[in-house]
Amino acid sequence: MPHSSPLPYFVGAQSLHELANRRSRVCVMNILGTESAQVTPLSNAYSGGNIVAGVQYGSTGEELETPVGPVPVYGSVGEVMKNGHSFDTGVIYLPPAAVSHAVSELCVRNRNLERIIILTEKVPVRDSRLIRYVAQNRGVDVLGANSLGIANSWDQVRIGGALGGDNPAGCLRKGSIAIYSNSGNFCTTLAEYLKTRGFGTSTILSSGKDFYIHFALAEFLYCAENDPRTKAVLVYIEPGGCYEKQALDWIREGRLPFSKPLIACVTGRWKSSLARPCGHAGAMAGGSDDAFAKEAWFDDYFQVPPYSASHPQVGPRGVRVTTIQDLPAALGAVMASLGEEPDFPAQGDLSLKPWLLNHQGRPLPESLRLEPVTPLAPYDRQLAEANRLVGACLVRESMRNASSATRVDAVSQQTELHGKPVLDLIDRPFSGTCLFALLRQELPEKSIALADSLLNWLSMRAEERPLAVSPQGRSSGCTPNAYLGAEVLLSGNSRGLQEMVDITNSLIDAFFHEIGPEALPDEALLQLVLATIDPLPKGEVSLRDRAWAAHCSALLKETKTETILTRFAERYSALEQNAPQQTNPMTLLAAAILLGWALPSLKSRRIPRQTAVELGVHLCMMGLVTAAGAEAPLWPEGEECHFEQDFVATLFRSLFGRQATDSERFVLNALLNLTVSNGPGTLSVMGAKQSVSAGNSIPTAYAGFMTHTGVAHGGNGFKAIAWLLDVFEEHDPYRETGHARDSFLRQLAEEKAREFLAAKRNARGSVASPEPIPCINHPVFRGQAVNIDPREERLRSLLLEKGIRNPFLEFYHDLVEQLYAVGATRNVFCVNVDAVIATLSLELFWGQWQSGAITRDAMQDAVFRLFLYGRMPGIAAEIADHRSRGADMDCRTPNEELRHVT
Amino acid sequence: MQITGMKFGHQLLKLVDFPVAETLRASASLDEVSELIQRHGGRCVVKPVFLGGIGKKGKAGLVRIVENAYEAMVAKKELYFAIHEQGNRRVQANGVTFEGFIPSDIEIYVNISASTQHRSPVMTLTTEGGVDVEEISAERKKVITFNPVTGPKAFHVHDALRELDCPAHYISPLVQHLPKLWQLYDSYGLTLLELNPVRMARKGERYLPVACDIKAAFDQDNPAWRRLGFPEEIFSPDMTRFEAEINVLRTHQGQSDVVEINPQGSILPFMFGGGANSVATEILGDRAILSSDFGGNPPYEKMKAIAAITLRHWLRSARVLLIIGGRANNTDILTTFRGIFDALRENIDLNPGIHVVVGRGGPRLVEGMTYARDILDRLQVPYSFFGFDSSIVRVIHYALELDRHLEQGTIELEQKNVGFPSPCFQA
Repeated sequence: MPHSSPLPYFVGAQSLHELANRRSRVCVMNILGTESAQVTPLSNAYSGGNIVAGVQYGSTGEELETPVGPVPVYGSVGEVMKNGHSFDTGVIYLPPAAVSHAVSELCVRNRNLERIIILTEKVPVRDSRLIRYVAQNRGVDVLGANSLGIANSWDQVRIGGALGGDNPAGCLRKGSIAIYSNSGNFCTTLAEYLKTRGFGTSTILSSGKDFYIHFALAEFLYCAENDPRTKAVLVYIEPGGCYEKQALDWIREGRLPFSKPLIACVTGRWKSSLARPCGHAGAMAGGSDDAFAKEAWFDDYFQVPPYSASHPQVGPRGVRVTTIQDLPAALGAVMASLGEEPDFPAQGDLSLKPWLLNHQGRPLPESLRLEPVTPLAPYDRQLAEANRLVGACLVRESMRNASSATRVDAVSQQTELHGKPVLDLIDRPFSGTCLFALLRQELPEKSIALADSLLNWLSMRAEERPLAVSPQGRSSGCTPNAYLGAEVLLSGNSRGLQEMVDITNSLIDAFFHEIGPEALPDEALLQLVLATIDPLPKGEVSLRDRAWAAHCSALLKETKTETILTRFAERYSALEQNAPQQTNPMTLLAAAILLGWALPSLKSRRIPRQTAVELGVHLCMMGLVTAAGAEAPLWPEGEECHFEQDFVATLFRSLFGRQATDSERFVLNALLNLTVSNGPGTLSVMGAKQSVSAGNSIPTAYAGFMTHTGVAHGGNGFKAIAWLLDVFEEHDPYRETGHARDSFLRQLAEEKAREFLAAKRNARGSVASPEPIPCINHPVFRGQAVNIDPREERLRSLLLEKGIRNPFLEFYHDLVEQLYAVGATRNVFCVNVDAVIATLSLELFWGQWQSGAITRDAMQDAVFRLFLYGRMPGIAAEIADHRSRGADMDCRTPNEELRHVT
Repeated sequence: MQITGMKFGHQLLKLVDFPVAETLRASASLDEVSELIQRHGGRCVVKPVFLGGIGKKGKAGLVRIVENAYEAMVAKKELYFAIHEQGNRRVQANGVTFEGFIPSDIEIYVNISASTQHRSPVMTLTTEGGVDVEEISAERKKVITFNPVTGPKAFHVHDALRELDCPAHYISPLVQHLPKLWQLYDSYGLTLLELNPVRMARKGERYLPVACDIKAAFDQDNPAWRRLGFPEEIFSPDMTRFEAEINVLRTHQGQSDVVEINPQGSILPFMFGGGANSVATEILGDRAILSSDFGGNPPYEKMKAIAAITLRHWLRSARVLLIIGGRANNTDILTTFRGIFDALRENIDLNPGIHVVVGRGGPRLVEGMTYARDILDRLQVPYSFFGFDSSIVRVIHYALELDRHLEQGTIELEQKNVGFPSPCFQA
């Protein structure tokens, strides 16, 4: 066992430079394994192609590609040697159980072997013992196990690991400091830290922190002493083992010659209370080798207290620091005390530099409120590139039975759209809900009138094209979902849809990265884009389109909501005014308005680019359904357009064929908002999502929504109305007012309650049960003495606040009390939210019903359409969500979930 | 992974025919205990059974020497569920053993353990056992070094006992039996085997060393202990439910080391690398719910599984989620961040008010950070991401200061009075 070190065991290397340099030749065991395959190519390139061969049991003849050429792979070390390769360093990436075998193989098969570097973690202590025995007897240095290798910054060599990460040349700068660290990660981290004081590195060793450290501090210091490149040694130490005590004792005893300064950091005081290791396997302290003991060893050696900003004292032997961030300063102080200059000008500092932050508007004290800092190169460029992406980048996943748009709270049974309970939408303008469903952010109040105008324009535009099938379907007795579904299905890529998409894409490309979320007007940028933008798609332009564009422009000015995008749209259209082929000015302006609204969501990455681009398509569908649902034209040719009309008024007209009063608009608005969603599990949503999953366009997905509604879903609202029509057949609740009406409703409720009780008693003993009263009781809101559906309660109180007292709803409340009073129910049932929809709808029809202007069938048709209109934003949200997040065919049911029924 | 006491120690030593005190389990009848006492000179020792590695029972007054079966049963009643506190560990017994008393005028301490000083196992011997070995002066105990492949031999034991002035009549039986312990140590993945005391029982004209208590520590990374066939739950007290769940995912690459520090803590740290683990746990102190090392380049599925388990256990009670590590050499940041933040996205309902602090460096750092940023922006979760050019220590202190601020209740009060901004409805 030849060795010439003064240490009581074999140490082959005589200096740090010997451990890894340009002459080192390497063979990697398990070279094609996952970790090696990632790390070895870069290591080989950085180190000048020093990996001569690799071993992969059973894989003779393969190669590992590296940037400096392929590395041949053999089935064993013996084969490597037989093929004429020569190496002095073996690197082991094998699993723990195979490590000791590989050490034996390397030692036995290669007589020129000088050292082995073991990367593997969690090598059994027993195997580690045998490894040391074999290596010591054979005269081979072992680095590790659980080492991340060794690096020589002077020679640009790293062996056996990924020190310096994916950019070793940038990270490992040549200098005068050797680093010995129990942590592989901290090897690289400390090399970065040292640069802040202008120090680079000579050799960096990740010692590993298994129970046995085979190349420990004493060996490292011995080699550092003999290394002329190294002027000082930085050590990072964790609890467990007496390696440091040995080294320091031997230096003091003169047994180990070492004259260079040491700067040490010990962490892990808390580990003294651990019963088993966490982190490094060997960082488990017994009674005498915990962090406190190790700190004392170093303090005793340095003869000065630990270094800190308030106690910057250092000794000739160096100093200990209590945190790793003080290492550069302590090193600087030690080197200054010895008259040594830094290796290069200091680079950067260790202050807090948030690369990305967003406090999301939460109040924070001054000390915690930081400003983002541009990352250092090359990360600044990478971040800038990442920020060039428009909107959210979503990973595709299965969206079967999943949604990020809506959900139903398991406890309250309340449906939420983008985190907001649908009930909270009730008094919001429905046009705002349509946009919120797609933008995931509420539209500012001042923009609501514009949203109404856009939706109205789109319904008018849908009417300008002869509607394909809805009149025919209506006359053939189709249910509304059928003829409206057919209408959207046939709309395909109809006029305006693709134009809107193309224009929006052009606007994003031209403006997105140049403007903030507010899209504030900027004349210079506007001029630049006008001069450089590729021509926008041309299309048909009607006089009414121009009129709508003029109206919207005026509205933008009036509401002070102009953006650079809307100004661009106006200027672009003005420039084209006399051109034979023109871009539709209203389509362009609408795209500009919509993109302006989408910008905050895009900039905050709440929606992907796709959703922003398709915003107009969704609104086109809403306009089309509104127009196709109306029996008579909403925007007859020759009549003056009611530009100021809100979208709910248009929907009212589509449903009832007449103008709405303010009160009726309020009620319809509430009804529509209430119907927006009932969660992602409803048939209508699943129809739309399955259509998206099959790879359909947006109009086809809307048809999927329509075909998944029917008399049991969407059309069932009429059931309660039919029941109420029977109850009130001979009693017009509007004939009475005030107390008289209240009294009348109570009497009627008592009468119906007794009738129900009698029916219930008659049904005893028979198979048939009495027909249940619609819209009372609820699977969740029951069991109390008095039961309340909070959704109904909220809506009712909102109506009462507005002075709207719906007699049918009041009747329902009297009824549940009377049912309990006469003994027909065990407690006071709740009036559920469906009752609100039925009673409010009935009120809207009541006048026409009483005058005979509407039939039961027409009323049923209208109630169904009301459901479809209200559900549109919820469906839009689900379609947009699924299109941007879901994967093709993800709505299929796996075979193992299918049942065969006989 | 340790065992103490003769309940399982008895089985262990029998594997190498090392004599052990006759031991009855708690289910022994009054008559059986009575007969045991009669066979052992009218005395027996009653000890509580603790699962896992619990030492210093004698010092804690948890060992009783009784002279009749009635006293034995009283001791059983008192000790069956005895509480033992050692350092910050508080454990409860679950059973007792009745061990035949071995009259002896000498108590031997013997230990085979891995030594970092010698980078090899050593045997430690003293003839003054029965007490903590640390209390015995260095000259009264002998550390024997030996060939780490073949183990301690009879002559090693002999020479050591002679140097310790062991009475001559005890030397031969000890030389005969003590080297057997190496077979146990070497064959079953032990890192420590300690018999204290070994009492010298008289057998006719000869003496027999009898092990009266045992402590054995096993190497978690050496599967040889499974060959013993001991029920795995005897090691389970070492782990909390959370730790056990995570431990299922443990592989040789690491990636899933966790220790519960303080279940009432408020900072949930995901630590990467042994160094970051050591530094961060030290600075965070009791505010850390756990200490972890998820480094080692975990694949996406594993990282997500670990994160999901961790978040399900702790997100609800945490105020700050800290992801901390140095500049990774090989751990892919995008992969690990995808795992963590996908799991956070799926579990955010547990605590939408969480704040996220990240200090990290490594391959695909910007891709990982922007991936996380996009998710947190959509969830409206506040975050601060620091690169590796910020001191890891300062980042940890930032998380601490943030946690202290949140603790003051400023934000909680706001949430209570004004309503927490809903994820998608911020003005």
